[in-house]
Amino acid sequence: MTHLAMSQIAGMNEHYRLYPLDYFLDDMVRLELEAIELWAGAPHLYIEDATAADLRRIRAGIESRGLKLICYTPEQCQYPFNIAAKEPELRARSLAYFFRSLQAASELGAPMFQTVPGWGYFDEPAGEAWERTRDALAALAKEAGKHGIVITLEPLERRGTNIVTDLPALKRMLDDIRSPHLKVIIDTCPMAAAGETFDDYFKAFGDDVRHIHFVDSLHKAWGDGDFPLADWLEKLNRHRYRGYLTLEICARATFTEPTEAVRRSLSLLRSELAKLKGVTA
Amino acid sequence: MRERVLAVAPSNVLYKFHSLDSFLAEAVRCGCGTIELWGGAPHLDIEAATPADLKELRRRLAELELRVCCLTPETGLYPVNIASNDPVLRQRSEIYAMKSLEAAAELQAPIMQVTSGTGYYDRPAEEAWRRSADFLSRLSHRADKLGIRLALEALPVHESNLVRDAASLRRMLDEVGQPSLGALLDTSTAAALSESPDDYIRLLGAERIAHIQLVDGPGGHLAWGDGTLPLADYLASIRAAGYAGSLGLELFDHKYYVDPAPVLRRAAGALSEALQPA
Repeated sequence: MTHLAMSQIAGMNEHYRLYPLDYFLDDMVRLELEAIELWAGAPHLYIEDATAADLRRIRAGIESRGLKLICYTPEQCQYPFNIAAKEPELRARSLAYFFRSLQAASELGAPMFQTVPGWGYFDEPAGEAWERTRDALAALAKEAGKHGIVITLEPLERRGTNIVTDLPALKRMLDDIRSPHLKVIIDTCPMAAAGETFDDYFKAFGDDVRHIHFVDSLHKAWGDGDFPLADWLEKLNRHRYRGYLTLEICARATFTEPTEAVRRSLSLLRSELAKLKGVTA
Repeated sequence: MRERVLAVAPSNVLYKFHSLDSFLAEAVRCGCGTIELWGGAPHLDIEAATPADLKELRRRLAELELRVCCLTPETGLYPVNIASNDPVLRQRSEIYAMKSLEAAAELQAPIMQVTSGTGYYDRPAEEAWRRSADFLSRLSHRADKLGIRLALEALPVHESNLVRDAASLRRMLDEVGQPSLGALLDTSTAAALSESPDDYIRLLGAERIAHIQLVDGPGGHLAWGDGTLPLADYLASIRAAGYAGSLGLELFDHKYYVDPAPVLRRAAGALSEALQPA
């Protein structure tokens, strides 16, 4: 039986940053995607600049096209913000950014909000940074609960953080916080970098795996990298994964022609899913 | 004529996951008396920096006898774009650039790096070009008053549809027409378009090259030895043209961030060696 379906694929605007947000939304309609994950970054939605009217306009733009917002993902790797920052001013500014972002997610009607762990100085012990991340996520999760939003936490590769870089650390962080509003997102890139598999994740977290960023290696379009797509689809199907698979493409080479990167990915996904249906029918 | 000594100026962007103090200490250990200062968090978050923060940074630099040859505010990753058609984003970007210029003055940096920003790729670039030129002109006036020279850097094709090669760089300099607005040559970005220092020198004139970021490539911002660019040839061209500025070592790559010290030592060493008279 094939459970996995194309309707679980979500588009994302991160690699559309050289184009207006409306261009992305129109593209999703053209490419017959219904679910979208919103990357909140300039020039599409920079929360420090956004007004209530901006948010209403964006929500209307999504809904009037019959699209469905499945997750709000604030830019948090490129901007100065870091929930684990050692400097009190920077950390306060970062927390304000995340709480404002969460409020925006609520106003846009997003059921999910994605986070990464932040980072501590690589030449210092990670213990204190871990605590700062833990406290920030606990506070965010508590606030998210009031809005009916689930926060998902994604490990980063070691080159981008020293706090949560693999499944055991992710589990430790979730166990430290113990919030019903804090769940797991798998991103294929850090998962592969840590030498981990979908089996590992589903075994460790089961239904707490709420979301997946599903991209080829180095966040490329499917087919441009070297991840084993067919094998992974088979595994996700076997684990009866019901959540969304977002094409979080952000390889810079795709920025000038973002549509083609999505089109390429979708065509490959369609044919691999059809093959899977053939095998499991 | 005695040959001028070109200063090797490492950039702290390589240490973005380490403290600024670690970087400064390593620069001193490498024998560098000059740095290119990257303005980005957590080292120098220009948008949030107070006058006291800048004074304190200036004091630390003086204590270590380090000179800043160029301030390079983060603009590629941060939500700024001086050419944006969104007035709110553009105004914040202009404030950021102006504040960066004041920071450069406070830190006694004689040069500040700037970029053109970008327009949307689904529409003609002319309007965005005009917004960029207008602001760069205003910024140049202020820079002139502060005695600072701006160094305009071409961006890769996936970052801008405005200034993105030596020809468009020249066009912008000509259009703005302010002596305080010069060019920045990034050897790796240039090489990605098969452009060399000779091309920049020929097209722009050496006197308009305000700053050089001398990094290996093409593409990426690699330590010397990690790419394929001809360092000795580049240095020969730069010297022959009479360039007397600093050589910014703006190294950044995901693979460098966990342990940047050996990368900095290796790149600074290779460059210093190549600079030795034969």
